[in-house]
Amino acid sequence: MSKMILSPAERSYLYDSLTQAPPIRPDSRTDHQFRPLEAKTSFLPGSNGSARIRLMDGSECIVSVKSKVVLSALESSLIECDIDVSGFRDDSNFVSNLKFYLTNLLQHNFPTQYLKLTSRYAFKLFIDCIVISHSSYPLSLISLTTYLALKTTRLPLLVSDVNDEEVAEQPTFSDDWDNAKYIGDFMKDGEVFQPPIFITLGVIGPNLIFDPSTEEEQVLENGLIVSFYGNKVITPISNINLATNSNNSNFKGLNRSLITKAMALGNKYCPAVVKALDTLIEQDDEEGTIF
Amino acid sequence: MSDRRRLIGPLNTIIPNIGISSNATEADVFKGPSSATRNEDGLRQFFLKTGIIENANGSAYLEVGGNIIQVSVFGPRPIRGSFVDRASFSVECKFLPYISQPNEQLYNNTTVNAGSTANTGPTNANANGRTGLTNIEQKISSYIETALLPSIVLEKYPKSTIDIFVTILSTESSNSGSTKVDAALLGISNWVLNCSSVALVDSGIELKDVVTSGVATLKNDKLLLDPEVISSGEDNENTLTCVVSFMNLRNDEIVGFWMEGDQSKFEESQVEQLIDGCNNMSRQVRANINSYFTSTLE
Amino acid sequence: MSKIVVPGQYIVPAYKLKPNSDKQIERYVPGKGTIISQIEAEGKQIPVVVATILGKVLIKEIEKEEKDDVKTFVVVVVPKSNSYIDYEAEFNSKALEAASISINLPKENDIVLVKITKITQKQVNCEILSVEGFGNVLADGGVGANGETAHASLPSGGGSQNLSSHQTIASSQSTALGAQTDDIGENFKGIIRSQDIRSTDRDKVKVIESYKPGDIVRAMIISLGDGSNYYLSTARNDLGVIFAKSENGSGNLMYPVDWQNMIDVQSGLVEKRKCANPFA
Repeated sequence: MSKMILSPAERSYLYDSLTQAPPIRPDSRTDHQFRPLEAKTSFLPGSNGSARIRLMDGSECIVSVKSKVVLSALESSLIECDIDVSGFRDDSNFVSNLKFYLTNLLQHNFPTQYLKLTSRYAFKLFIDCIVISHSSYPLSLISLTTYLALKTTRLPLLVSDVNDEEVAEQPTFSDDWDNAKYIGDFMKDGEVFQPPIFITLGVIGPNLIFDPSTEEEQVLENGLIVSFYGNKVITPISNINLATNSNNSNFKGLNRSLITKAMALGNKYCPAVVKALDTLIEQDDEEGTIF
Repeated sequence: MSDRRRLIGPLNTIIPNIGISSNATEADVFKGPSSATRNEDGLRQFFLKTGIIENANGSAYLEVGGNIIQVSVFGPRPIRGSFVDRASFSVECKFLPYISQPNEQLYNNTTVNAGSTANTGPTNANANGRTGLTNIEQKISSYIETALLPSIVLEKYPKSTIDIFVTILSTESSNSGSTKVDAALLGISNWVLNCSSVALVDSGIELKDVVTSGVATLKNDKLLLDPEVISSGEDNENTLTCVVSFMNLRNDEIVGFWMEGDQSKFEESQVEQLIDGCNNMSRQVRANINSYFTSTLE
Repeated sequence: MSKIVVPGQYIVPAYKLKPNSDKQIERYVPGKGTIISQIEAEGKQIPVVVATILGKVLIKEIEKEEKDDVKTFVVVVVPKSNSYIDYEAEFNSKALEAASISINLPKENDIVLVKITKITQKQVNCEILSVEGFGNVLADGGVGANGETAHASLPSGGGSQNLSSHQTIASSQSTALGAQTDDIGENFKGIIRSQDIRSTDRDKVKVIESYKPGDIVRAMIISLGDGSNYYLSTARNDLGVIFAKSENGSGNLMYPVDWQNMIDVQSGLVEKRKCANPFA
C-alpha cells in the first residue's frame, strides 16, 4: 500500500487534465471505464463460496463466504460481514467505515428469503474479506469480489422436511456435495441472482469519473459511493473523501446536479459491469474448479 | 418429606417484585418536550448554547426532541512531527456508554439477549468488549469530518491540529435493535453536524462558511422534514431518507450527502425533492444560528 | 455602529464602483478574519470579501505608495474576544500578508511573550504563551482536553479510548505525515539560538548570562521553523526578559537595572540577564 504524495506540479497537471470535457485520465480510460481486473472463484476448500480479484497495480482482495444453520428467531441478521485491510487496525476509522458500508449494502439488498430452510431454521452467511493490498479506496474492489463470491456460493441441499411447524427436527442435508445448490438456483420465475455492488465515482470540476485510481483520488474535489442492485441504482448513496491519509487541498462541496448525474450514469453503465462479472464466472467455470 | 441434600428456606416466603417487567410499551418512552412543537415548515424547535466548556477553544450544546448533543473544539494546537503547511483535522464522536445507538444490533454486532422481554440492558461497547469507537460512532465521525473539512480554512493554521470531540448524551431512538428505521441514524448525524458547526464558530477558527444540515424523509410520496423517530410500527417500507449538508452562502454547495431507504426503485425527481427539503431545513437552521450568534455579540 | 457578521457572510465585493461615479473603482482587500470567495451570481463567478469568523466589520482605507485612481480598502473582522486589538498597524500595504495566517497563531514578525523552559550553550528552548495584541495562543491555558490530571502517560487522543491510535478517529490527512497531537495541554514551542539573543557581539554570547528557565521573555518570531519549534529572536532593545525571579525562580521578582542586569530589591542580589527596555 503506497502512500501517494504528489508534488504541486503533478497535482496541477492532473487536475487540469481531469477537468477537461471529456476528462483526460492518466491511463487514458474513458470517464466510465473501470480498471482491468483478473478474477478467480471457488478456490477455498473450506468455504461455501470464495473469490479473488486482482488489479494490474497489485491491489488484491479475497472474499470467503461460509454458512451456518441457525435458529432464525435468535438472529437479528442473516448476513454478517467482516473486513480486514492489511496495514490498518481493525478498529481504525478506515476499516470500520468499510465494514459499515458493506453491512449496510447487504442488509438492505439481499434476498434473504432464499436463505430460509424451514420456519425455524435458516442459513446465516458469514462474509469475510481480506484486502491484501490496495492503492485506491478499496470499497468497490471489495464489493465486486463479494459479488463473485456470493454468486458462486453453494449451499448444501436440504433433505429433511421443510415444514417443521408441528414436529421440530434439526435440518439434515445431502452428503453428496454435487447436490449443493447455488443461491441463484433457489430463485424462481427466471429471476437471476445478482448481489448488490458499490461503485465509486470521483467528482472533479463538472466531471464524474468511475473507479478513480490513486493519483486521481488525490486531486478530486469530492467522491460519491453509489449502490447498484436489481439492475438499477439504489440506496445507500453517500459522498466521501477518497483521499484518505493525504494532503488533498482540492476538497470542496459538490453541486446537487452531480448527484442526479451520478445516478443516471450508474443506471447507464453498471449493467455492463454486472454482465462482465457474470461472464467472468461462466468462463471461470468452464476451466473446471480445483476440486 | 424433607430433602436432606438441599438447603430449603423457610416455608412462609414472599418473593419481592424485582425484575418483573412493568410492561411499558415503546410509546411510553420519553420523547422530549418539543415533540409537538413544529413551525409551519415542519422544523422542530431546538435549544442551542455555546461557550459552555471553558477548557476548550469552542463548544456548543444542542437539544432537539429527545436528542441531546454536546461538542467541544480544540485547536489550533501544536503537533508532533514534521512541518505540515495546513492544519490536520479530526473528529471523534462518542455516545454515552449506556445509550443505545441506532441500529446497533446490526452494525455494532451487539447480540440480542434471547428470552428477555424488556429492552436489553447496558449495550454499547463492541461485542468483543473493546472500548474504542463502535462502528456507528466511526460512521458518524466520518460523516462530520467529510462535511466540515471543506469549510475550514486549513491553510491559515500551519503545523497545527484542530480536533472536534462530540458527545451524544441522549437520542430519541428508543428501539435500539431495530434494523428498520433509517431516520434515527441520519437524524442524529444531522443534528451532530449542526452542533459541531456552531462549536467551530464559537472557537474562532476561520471558516469559509457555516455548514448547516437538513434531514428529510419521503414516505409514500409525502415529504417530512426533520422526521421524529416514533418507536414501534415504523419501518422503512417505501421510505427514502437522506441527510444533506450545505454551505448555504457558497451557492448551497453540498458538503455531505447520505441517503438510505428501502424503496425498490426511486426516481431522480424524488431525490431532487429530498435535496430541496433538506436545503429548506438547512436554511432555517442557518437563520436560527445566525440570530443566536448576533445576540451573543450584542 | 459596525455590522456583526458570521462566517460565510458576504461583506463587500472585491471590486466596487465608487458611489456617484461609474468609472472609478474601489478595491477591497481581505485582512484578518476575511477571505476572498468566488460566489456565483447570474452565471458568473464574482470575487467577494467574505467573513471567516464571528465579529464586527472594520473597513479602512490604506495609503499606497503609487497614487492611482483605484482606492484600496482593507476589510477586517474583529472578534469579540480580542478587546485589546490594535488593528491600526495592519492598515498598510502589508495587510494581505497579515491575513495569511490566522489571528491567534504566531507568524513571522509577530512579537510574542514566551516562558523559558530549558537553556543550553547553543540555544534556549521556550514555550509561547501569547501573541502581543491578540491574546493567549491556547484558550485552555495549557490544561488540554483531559483537564488538570493530564500527564504524559496518557496515549495520544487523550486516553478517552484505551486502544486508541490517531487512526481510530475520523481524520482525513496528515496521519501519514506523522501529525500527532500532544494532548497534554502543551503550548507551541520555540527556540532562541544563541546568535539571535542580541545584536552586538553575537558570537560571544553566554546564554547563562542572558536567560534562565522560568523567565518571561518578549521575543520576535523570525521563522515558522519545523513541525516542533518556532524560531525567535531577541536581538532588539525592546526585546528580552520582562519578568524573572531571582535564584532560579525561588527568590523574589526582579527589576531591570540596565540591559544586562536585574536586581532583586528585597535581597539586593544582582543577576545577569538580557533585559528588554520598557521605554520606547
